[in-house]
This record gives sequence, structure tokens and C-alpha cells, in this order.
Amino acid sequence: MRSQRIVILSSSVALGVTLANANPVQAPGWTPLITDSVIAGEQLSPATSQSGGLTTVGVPVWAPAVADSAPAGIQAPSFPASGEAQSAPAPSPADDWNRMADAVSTGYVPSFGPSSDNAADVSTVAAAAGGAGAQPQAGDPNGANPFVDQVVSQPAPALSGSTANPFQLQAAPEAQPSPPVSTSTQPFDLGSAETAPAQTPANADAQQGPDLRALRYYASQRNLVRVGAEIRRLKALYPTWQVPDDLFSPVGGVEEQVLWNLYAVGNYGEIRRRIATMQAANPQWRPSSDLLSKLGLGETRGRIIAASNAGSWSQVVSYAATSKDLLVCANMDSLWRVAEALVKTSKLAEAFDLYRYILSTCADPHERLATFQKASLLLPSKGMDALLPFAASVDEQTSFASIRFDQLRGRMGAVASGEEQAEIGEDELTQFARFIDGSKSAADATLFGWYLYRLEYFEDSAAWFKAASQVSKDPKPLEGYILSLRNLDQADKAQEIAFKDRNKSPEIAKIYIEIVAEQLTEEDRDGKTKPLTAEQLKQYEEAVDDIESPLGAQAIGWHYIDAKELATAQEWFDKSVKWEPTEGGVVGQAVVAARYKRMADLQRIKSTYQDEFPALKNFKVWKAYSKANYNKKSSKRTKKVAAKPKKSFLAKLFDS
Amino acid sequence: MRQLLPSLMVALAMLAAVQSSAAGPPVLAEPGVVADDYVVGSWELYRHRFLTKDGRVVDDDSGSVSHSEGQGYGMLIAATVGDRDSFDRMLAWTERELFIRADRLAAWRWDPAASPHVLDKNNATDGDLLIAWALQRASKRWDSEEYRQKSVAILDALADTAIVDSPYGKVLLPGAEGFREGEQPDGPVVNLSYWVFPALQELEGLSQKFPAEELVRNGMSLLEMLDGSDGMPTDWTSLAGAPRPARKFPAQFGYNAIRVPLYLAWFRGNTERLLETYRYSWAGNANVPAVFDIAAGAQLHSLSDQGYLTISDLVACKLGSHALADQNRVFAPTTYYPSTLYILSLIAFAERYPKCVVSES
Repeated sequence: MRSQRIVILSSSVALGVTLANANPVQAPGWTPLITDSVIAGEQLSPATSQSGGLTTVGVPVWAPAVADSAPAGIQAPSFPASGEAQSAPAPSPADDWNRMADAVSTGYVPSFGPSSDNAADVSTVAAAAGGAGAQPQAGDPNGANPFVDQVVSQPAPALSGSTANPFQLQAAPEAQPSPPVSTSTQPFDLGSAETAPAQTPANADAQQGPDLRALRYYASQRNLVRVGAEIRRLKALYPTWQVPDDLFSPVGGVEEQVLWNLYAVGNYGEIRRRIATMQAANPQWRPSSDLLSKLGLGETRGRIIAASNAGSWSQVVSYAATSKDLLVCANMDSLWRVAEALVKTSKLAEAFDLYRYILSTCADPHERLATFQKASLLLPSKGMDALLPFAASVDEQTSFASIRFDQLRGRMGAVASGEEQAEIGEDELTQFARFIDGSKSAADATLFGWYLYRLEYFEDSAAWFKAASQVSKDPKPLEGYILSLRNLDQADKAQEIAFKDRNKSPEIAKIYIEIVAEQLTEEDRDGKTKPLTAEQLKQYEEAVDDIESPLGAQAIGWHYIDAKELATAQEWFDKSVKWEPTEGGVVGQAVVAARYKRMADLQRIKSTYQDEFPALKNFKVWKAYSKANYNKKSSKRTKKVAAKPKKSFLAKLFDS
Repeated sequence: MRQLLPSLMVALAMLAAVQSSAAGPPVLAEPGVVADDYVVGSWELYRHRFLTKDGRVVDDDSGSVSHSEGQGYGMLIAATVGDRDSFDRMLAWTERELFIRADRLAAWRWDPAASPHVLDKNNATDGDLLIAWALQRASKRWDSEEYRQKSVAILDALADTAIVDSPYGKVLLPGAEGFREGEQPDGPVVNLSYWVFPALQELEGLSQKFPAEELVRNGMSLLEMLDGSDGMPTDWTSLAGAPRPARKFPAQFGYNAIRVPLYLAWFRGNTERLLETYRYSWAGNANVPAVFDIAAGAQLHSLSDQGYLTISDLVACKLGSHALADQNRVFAPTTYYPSTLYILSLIAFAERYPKCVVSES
């Protein structure tokens, strides 16, 4: 056997072969054996998951009721035949996938479907959320701070007797359909982080006509684009409403208008200079307190930006601590920077409280989403669990559930691309897998595939890639699937799929060329290559001609040398070199010339290419081609036992 | 790994996919806004600064006078953003104070310090055209036949009094009086910045008399001809022979003509080649427009107010995908004229190139 390293040939893999054999010409869209016996939500009959006498674990994935039949933490991913997948012939996801999920290897076999005690809850949430997003185990539904030892953060009643808030104008616009978003106007209190922000219920007082507080607030801030957006919103609600004339009140007189203009462009230093100049000329004059307080806040904002850009996190925290009024929804950027600074200075509890403050107080949906995203990159996962309940709507819940895994996605991506080595904890992967089960995200399933592929759990990566390609037309998971099969020594199946789908992406075409090239040129321990059928060879030759692959042409050349058809071999090596001179192609030409004993040709090839391809230098003109002359570089591919001399060149092409 | 090459490539592609699939906020300077919001918000500050309660747009560049151009711009913006109160106030003021001629055209200048306020009853055709355009937009927006008829009346009057035949076809004179052959040493004289191309485009077909389409065609060919010689147009152009700088005016690309690239960029049609001239000229000045002495071939001074810079952004946007610059996203009103051009540019952005303003529209 050629497979040395992948010791366990899983039953799922064997099954894959069975499937392929049973249905050699697959319709696009992965429809092996099962057609309509499995649909989303239906329990899979165990009988359908038996094939070829292999023991498989047929886990019904859409039926919470049978959750306890699943092996612990291991279930196959299953994408229902819905949405995009439906456009392809109905796949049989559950069936196929559950077979993949037998007890092989990693334990990170895609674990889709409810398998834990809260499975029923999960499915409820998923249903409520439009089918997306299994809810990870959330923390305290009250959003208790998981970083505080003694939980004292019960939602407090509206704080009374607090300092006057200059931002009372800033309120959640009444049209916000966001239950947990309170109309709290209280700034975040950095000094008493253990006190939960006020979560008064939304002020349901019937308003007569539009609520202009937000509009006036934005106008007072000279935030004109927000003024515009708010006017747009109000006009949608009250079509006959006209913007009041006094939006920009003439407080401060003409002189101050100049200063406000400077304020609008953030030129705070110039404002201070002008104020000094104007006061020198007219000691009676003073700017409005409105301007002075906003100027102060603006300057603090600037300091916070500078300090956080410089990574001076403790400075950021101290600036924030001395400017209470800064920490309100209108200064979202400052809130984010302060929260990051709190994390960076190991004040996780305070950071959590700040994020919670934003999610329970601020209304802008984009900012809320961004907040959750930023938190997900900074807070440990228990913090994210505790923030999840602050989603303001079912949609937002779905988004939060996905964002929660951003950090994990990043780490998995780093592992998959080889930037990092560390494997990731099982709990996290299991949760993520469960999430993907709900979200049916092809991108996530594909990421899972690459992660496992990098760790060489090929049967599991194949399962994820296959699931992904069932719900997405993106060729990437298909590539992953083919590469996984190839590494599972299912070259035939890999070749078949790659050939069929070679037009879906250049990468697949390339993989196809490589798979067959390898098959044509690799010897097993007995020095035999695995022959292609005449049909396979013909297909291959056509494909190689199609995309003008130098590598493919060489492989065909070597094949004909083995078959002692020198003239045909020469044609292919000539094509290879014509398309792109490579060492393998040129050496092939040299070998043909040597076999023909055309020493002049050989000499010409050597003199033309030996500077470029040093291997030619060792090519003894007077000797017939011999393996020993080439076998100086062993293949990187440790799985392969013995390589033909020519393979070392191919390997080099593959690997470089 | 066994297949390093493909796996590396797919891994990289996959990483990119992960980043873009993250359900984060769109890349917006201001999330949740559309390009129109910039116009609407800026208009509020603009009217606070430049519009009196009784509907007069104040030109603080020129001793707080008003003119038909300013009224036209103000009404156009109000109709565009849907501010009907302001529109009606401006219209009422304009009709009361400026429509004092025998025809349906507006006296061009109103001075609060003069008595009577209007000393010269001549009109300015850019003001008339802008008022007609504003009325046309208002008639559509608020479904008003009255506004439409007023618009048609102005266009008819323009056709009767300010459009003449020339070797270059029908041309729009700057005013009813003073620019014809015989009234100028090198008449007829035109001001191409009065040919508001997007207005002509939208007004096409409204009046039987008014040759909007032909004016667009002739104006564009005049610009093409100038493009062949000097590049940019002067504010005032003589059509006595080959188009050339008019004798009685400075031979400058200046405060008038700066509107030509604005209108070309706003115009729905292929004006890219003409616009390249401006971009090329400004590129040597850090993309800042400048007053240019065509005769001397020298730049006089930069036009660095926000309104002019935003025109430069707009031109670059039409010629590529240049985004509205950050410093031009916050309206910092200085004086009437550049502030007005700023908002007009924002409208052009919002109507024609919202993608240069927000990443999602």
C-alpha cells in the first residue's frame, strides 16, 4: 500500500469509495446514493447509513429528540437541502455526513446537530432566528459580568440623583425596534464598573409628533451627516414634518460661528488660539459654555485617539476616567478605544461592563454590531457568552452568534495557512461546529475543512469540505474536498471529481493535472505505476492540451517513455518545453534524445539549458539514461515510498 | 504538506474569504448613512447661515447682496432635499423682489443697501435657468402643475430674449442685454458656466421654444474647441470668430468657469475626455483647483475652499473611483459662493456617484 502515514483508513473513507464506485458518474451537486429519503428535519433511517457492510454511525441530525443517540461530541455536519443546495439535485447530506462521523481520528469531526442537553433550546433558537445560529451556551441571561467574582450586577433601576448629563438630548430614537436598548442617557461610569448601567425599560410615553432630541443633538455636534440621516428617518415616519428653523441656534453670536466651523473640522488647537486672541482684544467676551465643554470633550477624544494609537493603554484609561461625559453613545469611537485599553490593561471586568453598557444603551445597529465584533476579538469567550443576551433583535442575535466566533476563525485561519502551529481547544471547536450546523455557513465549513486539512485529518476535512460544497457554488470547498481525497489515497475518486469539475476553477484544473501526473509517474515499492485506463489517459491528454500544462505534458511524456513510445514521448516533452521550459520537460527531451542516441540534439539541449537547470549538468551524454543520475533529491512527500528519478523533478515542481 | 503549492494558494484565498465573510460593519466612515444624508444635513447648516427668514439667499462675499443665481441655487437645493417651506419662501421672495421685468426673467442683483434694491433690471441667464430647473424639480417632487408652468414660462422667456443664432448654432447669452454682436467689441460673448448642463438635460422637452438639447450639443462643442487650444475655458468667451477669451473680461479660468467641470461631472453622459483637462491641470497643484490666466499661461492662485476642493474630488470620482475626501465630508461653511458649490457637488455625488461617498448605497 502506498499509504504509510495515514494509518487509519476510516470507514467513512471506505464508504466514500463505495459511493463513488456505486455511482461512478456523479451528477453535479453531490448526489450519491440517497435521493429523497432524507430531507431537512426528517430523521434519517439507520438503514440508509449502512453501506458496504461498514459500520457507521448514522446520526440523525435534525431531530433533537434523538440527540442522545449521538456519540459524544461527534456528529456529522448536515446541511439541509435548502436554499442554494436545492438548486442542485437534492443532496443526501445527513446520510453521507453521518457516515463520515464515525469514531475516526480527531474528535473534531463536524459535530452538527443537537447533541447536548440544550439541544432542544438550540433548535428553538435556530428556528426563531430563521434557521441560523445555534446559541452557544450563553452566560447569565441577565448579562452578569463573568469577570467579577461577586456578581453584583443586577440591572439597576434608573439611577437617580446622578450628575446632570449634558447628553440628555441624545436618546435612542423612538423607532428603534430594540427591546434591550434602554433610553438610558447615563454615561458609562468607569469608576464604578461593578454597577450595571441603568436598564430602564424603553420609554413608552406616547410622543406627540416627532422626537427631535437626537436631531438637535447631532446638530449641536455639527454632525451633519447624522443630521441628514435623522431627518431622513423622521420624514419617513412623519411625511409632512418640516425641519425646524432653529436647528442651529445662534448661541454665541457671530464670533462664535467661526469657532464652531473650526470645531466642525476638529481644529481644536486653533479654537484655543482664537479664543485667547479674542479675549485679549475683548476681555468681556467669553465663548459659550456649550462650546467650551464640547471643545474639552473633543480634546479628550483627541488625546484618547493619540494614546490608543500609540498603545499607551493606561493613559487611555486615565483620560477616560477624568472625562466622565465622554463615555456616551455619541462618542462610540472613544468607547471602543477605552474598552480596548481596559482589556489591554487587564481590566476585563470593566471592559465587559463597558461593552455591556454599549449594547444595552446605544441604538445604532451598525455600531452595535461593530461593538460586538470588537469585543469578540478582545474578550475571552465567556465574556462573549455573557454579552450574547444583549442582542436587540432576532437578526442581531444571529449576527452576534456568528461574530462571536471571529477570533476563533482568525486562529483557525492562522493554523490553516501555517502561520501558527497551535491547535485549538476541543470545546471551542465543538461549539463552532455546532454553530455551523445551525448557520449552514459554507465559508465557516470550508474554514473548518482547511484547518483540519492542515493538521492532516483528511477524512474529517473531506467531510467539512463536502458539506460546504453542498450549500455553496464556490469552488474552494470542492478543491479542498479533492485534495483531501487525494491525501486519503483515493486518487481515483479525486481524479474523477477533479476531471468532472475542472472547469469550475483553474485551481481544480491544476489539481487534476497534478493528481494524474502523480499517478503517471509515481512508483510503488515494486517499481510499478498505477496504470490509467485508456479513457482516463485520453481525457487527461485533452485536458493538458486545453490548459497547456507543462507539468501535465511532462507526466504524459514519462508515461510514453515507460511505454517505450519514444516518438509520442518526444511530442509531449516538446509541448511541455514550448509552453514553459522547465527542468522536467527539458530533461525529458534529453532522455528521449539519449534513447534515440541523437547526441547532437542532446548536446544542444545541454548547452541551451544547463545553466538554467543544473540537473542537466549531471546528465552524462555518453551514457544511457539511468535512474541513479537523477535520484539525488528525494521527495518531500514522505508518504511515497520510492520515487522514480523523474519524480524528483516533478516533486520539485509541485513543492516549490 | 503533500501539495504545498495548491494548499498554500487555497489557504490564502480562504483567509481572504474569512476576512470578507466576517459579519462586521461595512467600511463606512459613517455607518448607516446614505449619500443623500450629507446633502440634507449640510443644507440645514447652509440655510442657517445664508438663508433669511423671508427667503433671501445672502451672498456674504459681496456685501450681503442677493442675486438670481443664489436664489436659483437655494431653490434647487431645497427642491432636491425636499425642504418645501424653504423652497416656497425663496420662491415668494424671488417673485416679489426679482421678477420685476416685463418678461418672466429675474433681475440679476438685489442690494439691501440700495434704493431701490434693484438698480439694474438686466437678467443673468444662469439665474433664470437655475430657477427654472428648481421649479421643474419642485413640480416633480411635489407634483405641482403650478411650479411646472412657472418653469416653462421662464424657459420660453429665455428662448425669446437670450438665445441667438451664431456660427456655432444657437447659443445662450449671459443676459438679455449687453452681450450680442454690436453690444460687445467682440460680441457675441457667452459665459459657458451659465450653460448648466445637468439643468439643460433635465429641462429637455419641457418648453416647446427652449432648445435645451441643442444648447447642450453646442456648449459641448465649444468646450471641445477650447480644449483643442487652451484647454480650460475662460469665464467669458467671444464667439466673434474662433472661440477665444472675450476682450473686455480677464482672460481667466476663474470663479465663473470653475462651475464648468462641476456641471460636466454632474451631467449624465460622456464628459470624461473634457474633464481630463481639469484633472490634469489641477494634478500639478496637489489636485487643488486654481484661477488660471489663460493668456499668460500661468496659475494665479489656488481655489482651496472646501467647495472647490469638492469639485476636484467630484471630477476625480467621475474619472475613476476616487472617494469624497474625509475633510470634505464635514461641511465647514465659509462664504456664500464656495459653500454653495460645496452643496451642489454633494448633490452631484449623491445623484450620480454615491459609491464615491459611501461604500454601500
